[in-house]
Amino acid sequence: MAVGIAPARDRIAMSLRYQLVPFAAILALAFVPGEARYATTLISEVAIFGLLAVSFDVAFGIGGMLTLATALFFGLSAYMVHHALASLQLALPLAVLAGVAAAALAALLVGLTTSRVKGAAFMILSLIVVSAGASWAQSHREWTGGDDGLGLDAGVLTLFGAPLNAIAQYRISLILLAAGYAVALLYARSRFGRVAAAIRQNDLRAEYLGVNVAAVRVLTFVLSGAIAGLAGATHTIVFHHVHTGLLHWSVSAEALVYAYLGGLGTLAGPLLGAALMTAIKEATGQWAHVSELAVGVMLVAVIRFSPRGLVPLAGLLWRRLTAARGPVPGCLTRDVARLAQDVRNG
Amino acid sequence: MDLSSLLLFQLVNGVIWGLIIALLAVGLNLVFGLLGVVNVAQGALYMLGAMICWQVVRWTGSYAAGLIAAPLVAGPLAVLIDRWFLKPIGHDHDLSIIMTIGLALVIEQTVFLIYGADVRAVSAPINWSLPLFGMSYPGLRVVIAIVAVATLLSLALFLRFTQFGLWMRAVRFDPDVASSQGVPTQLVFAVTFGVSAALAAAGGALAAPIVNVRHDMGVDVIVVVFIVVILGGLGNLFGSAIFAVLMASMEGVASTFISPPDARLLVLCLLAAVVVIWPSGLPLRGIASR
Repeated sequence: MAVGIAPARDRIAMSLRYQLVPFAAILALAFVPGEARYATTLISEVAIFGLLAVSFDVAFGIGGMLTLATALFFGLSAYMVHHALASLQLALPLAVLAGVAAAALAALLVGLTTSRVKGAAFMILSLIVVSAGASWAQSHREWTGGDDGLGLDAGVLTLFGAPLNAIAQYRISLILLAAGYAVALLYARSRFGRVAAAIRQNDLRAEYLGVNVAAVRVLTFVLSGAIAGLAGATHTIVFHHVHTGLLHWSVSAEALVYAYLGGLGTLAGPLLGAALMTAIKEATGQWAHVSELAVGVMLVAVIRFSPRGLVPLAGLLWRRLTAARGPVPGCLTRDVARLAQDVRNG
Repeated sequence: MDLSSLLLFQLVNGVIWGLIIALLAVGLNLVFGLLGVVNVAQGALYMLGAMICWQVVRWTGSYAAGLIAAPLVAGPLAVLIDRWFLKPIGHDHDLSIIMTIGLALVIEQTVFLIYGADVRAVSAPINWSLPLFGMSYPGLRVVIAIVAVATLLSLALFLRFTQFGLWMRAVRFDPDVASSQGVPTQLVFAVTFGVSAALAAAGGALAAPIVNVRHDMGVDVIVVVFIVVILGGLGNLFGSAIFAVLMASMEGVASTFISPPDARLLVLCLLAAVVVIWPSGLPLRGIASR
């Protein structure tokens, strides 16, 4: 028993059936035909950045740690999977595992050294860590290939001896997305996840209740790093190319944008945010670089007018339409629902 | 060039770069001390200052005009940004970090749309040089250092000896009490934001002749500024100015022996260790706070 933090089940506003919507969507997307190369590439991109946004949501939305180090774990895993496939000739599942393990290990190291640091200092420390990683990678071009990066011969992508064609790679990206999302959801609903949320709300109170605050923070951070690692592995599998740009902190900022757009702390929201933002970027992409501007404008607009993101907003609208009582759909924890209600009230 | 004069050369270069960083860091810290807002867009405002300087130099041919125009445009712009985007969310700590990330993206990409990705250079208007340790040191950099120091000093005098400076210190100490004593806190917030942005833009205009002017020039500078601010202690203006100069000169000296990226990495690792040991800045409060 996690020391009296876990409240009665009905007090936690976890509406599980709404959390199943993303799984249904992922399953439906698996039937997109392989000829639709444009669509599959785009959806794979959503899978990668959706996972990255979920990783950020686990760290900040659930754990309350405003981290910009996501890109470090993402890039590290992408390089690790590349190395495992190209140089070590490992099987694909083992390569993915190696990438995720490397990301988790790096997150463990960063988490252990920073477990005492909170608030703005934590954000800045994570920024230092990610810039140190990026500048190390940049200065060792002989290993990382620098900005130009390293290509991967698609021939090494095999699963149980059979070569993977484009549609198989696409479906693997969906499977990895579903797996990462499921792990995040299970964590949020587990006792650890609730304790992590309690620490976010008031770390002093949690500590007085006997919670090992540092341990739960490190655990949450490692999980977030592992999910970012899954995103990095997916990137290598889909795009067959790694470069040092993957390690830049602006990649973390992008994940943060998606998470905020969809709704922080909702897990489904970050996925929706990634899908929506990828669509907007694609629609505006024909005018060179307007897409980056669109990301910024969307972020500013969301924070300005609906700071809790789109999923809680949609949940509130649904609530209002049906005039029902109880938890707000799509909101994982009670405090997000309460904050969303504050926003509604004024 | 022997080693000692090379070292000194790098050290002086580092100090001058550090003074530019100090302008940004002090501005960032001023806003943090007063509003609790970590302004991630400070790097974008620095870039904006450099770009305005480039544009004005192109129009008028005078670097001095560019140097004056940059803070005069960026300051009022930041006041509007505060009013339209940060005040409505109540200057909330986490939300304002996210909001300023968005604003930084908007500013950078707007500049990119207008000016493109070309690297621009602001021509050096000063051709004399100063004999220094047996070498000739470019006079331009000396002028940049003098302007930066003068700006920092006048800010310190402004805070210390003017009515408005007193208000700013009072609001920083306790906004509610200051407000009840008749201090126009909203005006103080707006002016502080404007001054902070003007400092960043001045830093950009000063850096314009010695770095490449581009829409993404602020992205990596902001990391250094954050580190400096944390080390000097959040809210501690003097500390951040000192650490800006210290860190940049350290990096300069280190890059005499190892490649510049490795020097950056070394300094980042050292600083990360310092932040882990003293999460709220080095324990300098006794001597450095004011």
